[in-house]
Amino acid sequence: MKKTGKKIFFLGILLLLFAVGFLYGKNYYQPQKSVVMRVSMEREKIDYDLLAGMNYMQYLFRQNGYKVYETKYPGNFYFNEADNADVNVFVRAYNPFLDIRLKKNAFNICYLHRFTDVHEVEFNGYDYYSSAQHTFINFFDKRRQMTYFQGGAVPHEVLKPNYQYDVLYIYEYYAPEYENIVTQFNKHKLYGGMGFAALSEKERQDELARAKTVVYFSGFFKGDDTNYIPYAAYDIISYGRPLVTNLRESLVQKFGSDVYLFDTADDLGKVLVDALNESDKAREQRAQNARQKLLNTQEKTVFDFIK
Amino acid sequence: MKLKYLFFLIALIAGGTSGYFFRQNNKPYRLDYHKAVINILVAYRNELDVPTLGIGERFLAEDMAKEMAKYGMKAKVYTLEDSYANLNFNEGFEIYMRAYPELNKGNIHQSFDKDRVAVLFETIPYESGEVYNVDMVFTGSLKKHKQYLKEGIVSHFLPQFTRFDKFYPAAKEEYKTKILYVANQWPGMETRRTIRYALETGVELEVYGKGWGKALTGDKKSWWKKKQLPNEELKYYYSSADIVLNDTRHDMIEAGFISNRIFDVTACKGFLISDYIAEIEEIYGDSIPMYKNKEEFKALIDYYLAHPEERREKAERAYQITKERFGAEKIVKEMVEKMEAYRKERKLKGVED
Repeated sequence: MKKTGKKIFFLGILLLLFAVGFLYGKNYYQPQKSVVMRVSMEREKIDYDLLAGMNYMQYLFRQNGYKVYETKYPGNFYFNEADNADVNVFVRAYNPFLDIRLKKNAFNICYLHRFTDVHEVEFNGYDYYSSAQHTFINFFDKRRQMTYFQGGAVPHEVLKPNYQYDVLYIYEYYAPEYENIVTQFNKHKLYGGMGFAALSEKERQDELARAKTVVYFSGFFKGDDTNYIPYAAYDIISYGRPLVTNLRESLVQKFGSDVYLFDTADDLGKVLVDALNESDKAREQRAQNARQKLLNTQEKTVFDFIK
Repeated sequence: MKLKYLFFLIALIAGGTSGYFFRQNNKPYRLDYHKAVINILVAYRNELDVPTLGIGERFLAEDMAKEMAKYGMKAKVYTLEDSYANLNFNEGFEIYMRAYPELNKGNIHQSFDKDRVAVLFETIPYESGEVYNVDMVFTGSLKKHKQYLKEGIVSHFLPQFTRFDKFYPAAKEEYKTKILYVANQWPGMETRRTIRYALETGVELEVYGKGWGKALTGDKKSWWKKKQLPNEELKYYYSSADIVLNDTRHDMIEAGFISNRIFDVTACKGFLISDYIAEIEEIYGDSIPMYKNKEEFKALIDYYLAHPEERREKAERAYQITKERFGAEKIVKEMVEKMEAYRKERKLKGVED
């Protein structure tokens, strides 16, 4: 009897240890954390601002030890590697998602990039909601877990200038009055935001390096924060290129005179003339100053609820 | 003693390894192929809840969902709004059934994964771009089915259907009408043939439906009895009328579709006179008299008003044909079987796999 009792006790301990090991293996042990970023539009329709924002978010995740997967339309959102991802970020771009599947025991985050025609019914069921736009964060009621995604850029290597244009004009929003100003400069190059984003990283770098000034015109979407600084602007600054962009108070506060700012089309012309009349050295120095300010002050964490 | 601790360690490691591989085999995004959504695309969710919404597809979708449940397929009716509401649905089949607007002619799998099967239930002629877009088509037109097969589309001929628990003989004196016409007149479209012919030939009707304000004016205004008939009362009207009239859109006639009204009325043993459709003649023979012009329209109505016994006899024959071939149970069972066969052919793994 005593021996049987001891055997049962021994087996019980074995089972208990097996169970403990099982729970640990199932829930805790992981070679590497991973995140899947799903974007609700086709690759070729992503504009420069969205691309730069997503690249920055992915950079932060990597810095925090995550392996990053990214997927866009056409549909391949739920591939094998996604099964074990700890974090799922649904980037709600300019189209809604039509096939959302959320995973229990993972962080499921909805990120709204810019204010667009959204339907409130889309924003249910996630664990967290995020945006770089305070207007979006204020749009929804307090029942949702909202978090602000800070501005910033991937810390790039400084691009060595290789001048071929005076002005590289990248526009997310077509505004002929601004374009007419730019095209008056002899050596200019134009890109729509989508077209620029569709280039390879190397091609984008080459184009940025070729320009003495880079004009980034973001336009304003209905509902945007008036102080929203586009990720594309940060991206250009991070490459160490002289940026000329729409005036925002937040840009003045962050970068002072190290970034060239314009308001109207006439302003743009004046700003470009002043910038190009500066020596190359002075202009490049401003760009380096802006870059340093950016890299010294930008955040290192991704979302504060992700430990 | 030491052996004991070795066993403990082995148990711990074995547990850990098992747990790890258990997680690796976890498939949280697998779809359930015993679930479907029937997406009617036409309304927002709050409109769907209006009981008198007069869109045939809505009732058809609800009937289909109810029947599918009998064959192990849990189905929900979805609207346009539901498509992008984050309902976290894991239904393996998405069935599209539309009145208007047209489906996006871009690739449907542009915006959802290929493991979700896109099914088109074609009740009115759809654009070819819509048909090419989906994984499989059930079409109510034999003509189109043959054309789709030639083009390599996964197509099945599946006529529309009626539910015998909703539409059955139920004549009641208080619902009696002489010549009944139940249909909507959509704005901007040509006045429906039945009304045009009735106005031109002097046949008096009792009209139920929306949009007749412009066509029925002056002393004809009195023809228009109600804008809406609750769906559950239709059987009484169909069963009690001396004659029920049907007409069909030109594009449906050309494409070879038979309107659901044919099945619903005949299931109630209602006597039907219709505009001429070859497919109706093929199926029902002379049990549904048909006209090709307004003269025939008037002649048929006058004749059958005067011959109630013939009306009863033809209605009985049409009823038997509908009972045998166009019941929801039979049609939906076939549909579910074909969907399951398609899934197996594509080797799509669901939650239970």
